[in-house]
Amino acid sequence: MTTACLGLLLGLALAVRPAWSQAPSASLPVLGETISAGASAQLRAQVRAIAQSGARVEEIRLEPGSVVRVYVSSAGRVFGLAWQSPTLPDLKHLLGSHFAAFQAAAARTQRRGPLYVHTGTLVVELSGHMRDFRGRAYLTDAIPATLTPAVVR
Amino acid sequence: MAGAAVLRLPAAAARLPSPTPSPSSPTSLGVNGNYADGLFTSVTVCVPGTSNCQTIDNVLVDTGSFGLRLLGSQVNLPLATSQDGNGDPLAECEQFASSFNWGPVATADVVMAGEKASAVPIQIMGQSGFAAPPAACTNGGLAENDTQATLGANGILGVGVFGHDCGTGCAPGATSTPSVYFGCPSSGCVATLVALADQVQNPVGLFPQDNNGVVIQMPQVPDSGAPSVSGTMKFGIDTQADNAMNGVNVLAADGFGNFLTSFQGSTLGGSILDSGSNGNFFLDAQTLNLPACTNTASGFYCPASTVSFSATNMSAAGAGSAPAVWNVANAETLFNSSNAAFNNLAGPNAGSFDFGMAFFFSRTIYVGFNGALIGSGAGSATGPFYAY
Repeated sequence: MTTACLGLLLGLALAVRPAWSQAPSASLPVLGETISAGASAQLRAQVRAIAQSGARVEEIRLEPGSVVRVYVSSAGRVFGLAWQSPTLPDLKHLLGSHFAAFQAAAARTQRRGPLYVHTGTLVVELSGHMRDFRGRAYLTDAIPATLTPAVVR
Repeated sequence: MAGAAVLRLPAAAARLPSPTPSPSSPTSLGVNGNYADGLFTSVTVCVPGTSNCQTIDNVLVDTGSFGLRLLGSQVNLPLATSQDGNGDPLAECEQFASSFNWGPVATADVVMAGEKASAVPIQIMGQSGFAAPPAACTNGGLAENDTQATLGANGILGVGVFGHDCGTGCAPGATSTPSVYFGCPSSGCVATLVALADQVQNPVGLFPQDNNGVVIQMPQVPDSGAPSVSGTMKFGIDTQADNAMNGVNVLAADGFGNFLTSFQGSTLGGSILDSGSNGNFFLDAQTLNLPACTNTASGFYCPASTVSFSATNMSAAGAGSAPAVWNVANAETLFNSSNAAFNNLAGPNAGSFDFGMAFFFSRTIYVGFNGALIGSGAGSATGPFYAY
């Protein structure tokens, strides 16, 4: 009886990581918006302060083998996102109100290969291939004054 | 002799004049336009086990992806659509970094240069009358390249280092279901897992012989580019008298198909040799002190005069390194010429190196497939690897 109960608890404890396709969309942070209190804990994010800025980066591990890093200002606003995953993330959710501008700019690319979109204050860069995509997105006017875009990676 | 396919830049079709630059309208890379640094070949597909065949020209040769994909608008054969475990049509949302392709999986014999792979799962892109891509596919926000105008080719021949386009992450046993393969009943397409044998696959890996890699050899091009270039792609490495691998540096790739690049004191991961990328894409304007183009060549670098770069490519693990030297010219100047093949076309790619088609000129590049065992003793190499 004891063993079976332990097994069940372990199963519950391990099974909470969402996947891109299965995460409740309300739970993943959105670029440019203020991160909700408790979101970090709910997503089991590992939080690390960024020196001399009051900003922080929250690292979230998703299934299968995907990582999202959320860059948050001292005011709680998401100014950057970076990710590495075997398949593409749900950019429609992650880019929020900026998705339409991204989609329009992405359609104009003359490049076949990594994606490079700079439109207005939005920067989205995506590289890699099936099995290993890496990318980042940030708002140029939301980067804390003491930091540069290079911090988003 | 190993089967050897002829490779061409640009696509073998009439070239229209460049469209008037207009930042708000898409620029056609197309088969009927000026596709800079696109490498093309012809692929023959047949209804399995029959001589009912069709040769498709202007298929993009892509060492950065895995599997054969053909535009539905170009395929005239009655190829059977594959089914998922429920007996519903099986389709795929194949993802690339700057675009996606949607369409059903079908089965065909694939024939190139006298080599034949039987009953290969391939993707038919943009098949007329098929279900539209579901939200899970379009939520990536990338352009759908399922027409000649948007793809710039009649298909994509993925001859990269892996056999299956998705692998175990999309097969039964995976811990979640990626939005890659979909079963499409009339009620709507739903993501599904697909056994490895039924996933879209690198057809060269399924040849009965000469199936452990490809060798792409391209000639030199002048600094100002060339209007057209021909090269060859041989099938198999060290399987015939004419595809031996001698005197090259082998770069072992990791489980993602990437190697390392050491550049100006830093070592970066995620490096790839990708003939399907139409330029060398690396780092960013600020890091390199290279201006980004702002006008007709937006997305590329536009230095006032050509700049030279060098780096050392290294195996993802273990020994093996290869020097890399390349130039970056003003992309707008290149595009204003009537040339299509450039060894100095380059643009940004934050944090990593994508050595694209521009890097293939004047080189013989070996792509060793996952699981390949080439040679023995000191000169041996195990796939996945790149070598040049």
